[in-house]
Amino acid sequence: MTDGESAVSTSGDAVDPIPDLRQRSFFQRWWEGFSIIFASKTAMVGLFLVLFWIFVAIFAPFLTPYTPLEQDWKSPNIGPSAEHPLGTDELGRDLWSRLIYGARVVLVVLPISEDLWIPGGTAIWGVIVALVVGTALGLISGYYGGWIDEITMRLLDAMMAVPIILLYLIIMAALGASAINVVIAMTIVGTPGIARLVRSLTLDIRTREYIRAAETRGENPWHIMFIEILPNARGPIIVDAMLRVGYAIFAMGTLGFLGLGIPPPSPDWGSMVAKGREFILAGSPWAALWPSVAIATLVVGLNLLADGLREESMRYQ
Amino acid sequence: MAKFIVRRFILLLITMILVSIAVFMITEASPGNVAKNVLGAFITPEQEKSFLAQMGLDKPAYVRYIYWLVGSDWLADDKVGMKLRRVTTEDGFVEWWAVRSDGALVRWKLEGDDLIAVARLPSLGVATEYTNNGRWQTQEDGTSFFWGVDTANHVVKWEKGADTEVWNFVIGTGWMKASGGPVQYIPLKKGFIRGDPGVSLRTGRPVSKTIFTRLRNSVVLAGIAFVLVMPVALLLGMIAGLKEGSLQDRFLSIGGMIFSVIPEFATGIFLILIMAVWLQIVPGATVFGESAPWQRPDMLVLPVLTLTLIELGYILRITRASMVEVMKSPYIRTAQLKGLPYWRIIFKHAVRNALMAPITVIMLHVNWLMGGIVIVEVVFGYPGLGKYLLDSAMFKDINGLEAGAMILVLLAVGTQLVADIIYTFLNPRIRYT
Repeated sequence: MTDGESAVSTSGDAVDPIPDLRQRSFFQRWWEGFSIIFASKTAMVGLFLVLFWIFVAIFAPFLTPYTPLEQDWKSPNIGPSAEHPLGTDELGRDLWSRLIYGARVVLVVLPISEDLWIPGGTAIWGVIVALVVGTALGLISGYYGGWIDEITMRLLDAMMAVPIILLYLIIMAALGASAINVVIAMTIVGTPGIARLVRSLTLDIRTREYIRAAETRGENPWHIMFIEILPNARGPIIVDAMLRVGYAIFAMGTLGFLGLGIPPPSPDWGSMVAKGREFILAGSPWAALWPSVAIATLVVGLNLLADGLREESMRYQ
Repeated sequence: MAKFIVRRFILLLITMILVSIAVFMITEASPGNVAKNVLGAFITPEQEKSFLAQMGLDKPAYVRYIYWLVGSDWLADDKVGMKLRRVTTEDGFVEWWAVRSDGALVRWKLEGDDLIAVARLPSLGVATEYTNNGRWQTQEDGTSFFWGVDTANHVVKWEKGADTEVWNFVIGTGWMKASGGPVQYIPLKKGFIRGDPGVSLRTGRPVSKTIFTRLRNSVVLAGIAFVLVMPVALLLGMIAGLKEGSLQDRFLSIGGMIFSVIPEFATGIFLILIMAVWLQIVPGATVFGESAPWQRPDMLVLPVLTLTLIELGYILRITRASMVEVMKSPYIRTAQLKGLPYWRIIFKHAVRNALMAPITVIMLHVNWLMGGIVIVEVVFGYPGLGKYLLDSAMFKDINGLEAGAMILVLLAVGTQLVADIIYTFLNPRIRYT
């Protein structure tokens, strides 16, 4: 977790030793933290990959003349051509448009029903909800201690002991396949780890003087937990959350591949690979290849970015 | 130490019971219908009802859980009034018989109003049939009833003249409607804690038989990958860690990271496309039929390689981090200042301490590795435990799912316990109380 602290302190306001009376604007501080990336080649490569996918995800409707569901019965399973830059799948759907709409589901929109969606990708929501639940549990059990702590932690320990894949299997088999249920499954799987981290931070921060002071003032416990403790624990939590985004994309792809993710015909990288796999030996590898490349470049990009950032921020220490 | 092990062992049992209850409840709550899965979507409501009753699925969930956990034969013993015995036939199917006082095995069937007993002496092996109407009992309202073992492994209650219609599904013939069926069924099983995980609803075979083969296949796969990956990853990790920041370190650690973060299914697809489709060196799928995995080593290459690549990066990075830390420690500097030769510092001082972290972390990694194995098995169609578990979950085959889940939990928690114990030997400063 020292990495996390360092990443935050260098990206924050510790750079300038002389206190500046004028508060630098939010964007200035943010840019200072951000400019670390340019010092590291690996981080730049990672940033490029991630930005590429974010860009195509946001502007997907403008980057392809086809919708991801449009079928062309005359040309199923063909390779790259002028009309279809990456080829088509077994139903003649354009792979490029399915790929970028798939990126949209991962990074930009969470489809709730047929025609209702909310901003923020499925993987992003999976991390956010797990973060909210895990942070609340960690704060409560760390701050109150005693039997609340004991019960919460024993239950979370038992959950952590269960193999993750088994948790995903039984949760998704029970809930059925949908984007919301993927978020729920990610929350259940992610919560124990986050709760443990937040609890350990809370146990440390609880002993500080300003918490004593707040208690003496007679502050409400919720105020102490969420206004006094949480902001002071945010560094490691944010770094942990960033790593979890990569893992969430990984998990989403895996669920889709097992047929437990977002149900067809909606474009999902994992299920595209699962379907395309059947046609590899029939001589058309494209439908399986492109989504595999997509998910591989996205998670590698995220990890290169995180790795480069960590390395650079450690160098300044 | 003993106290610690006992406590952890009890925790393991509690976790297993909690998981088994959770799996039961979640499967219960989930949409879908196992009768439709087994029999197809076009069954009539009567057929479905009859099927559910025969499988004991019409009983409340807690009763089924108890039957699953501790069995139902002890309960059925009293009803029949004879001891019940489980027999395994040559084909691998399980049969239940009641034991008569002279040692013969008996089952019953109903023909019209007559009870027909089918008796088999263990020495003879040939079944004889005789009418056995003496066993009818009378209940308060005057009708006759009889508890006995039927020919399909249930303890059933027949009522004279009740004339219940039942639908039996006979493989090869289809649905057979029969009258004079029993009014109540208790499916016979020994229960999980007595070593009988039941019969798979999906395959109709005992789960224990299938799962043993599946587990063996998975262990072969994981074992080969483990044996290959350990020396390579530890060696490369140490090479990378010795010269932190050098070109080879950057190459190895970034390469390792890339392999370990790409989802298993994507790695598998890349390998299939390169090795099986493009170069055509090895087959891209695993079809074993009746033969064991090691009889077709060419088919094992790609699954093993996929697992190896993913694990390689992970272990390499841990070893590297551990090596970097050790090389910065004061005792290494002391050794250098003493003027010891470089290789001697590495092998005598650094390596032993640097290997401590990876070995324990790898044990804790088993939980994660299982996920990888499930995916690899699905990608290559490898008949292992992971694929069995996935198929069972999709089918709502509760017996298969529970047995697979219990094995996974046992492995995950068990290896963590072993890791903790190994750690005390590697690092004597740690004591458990």
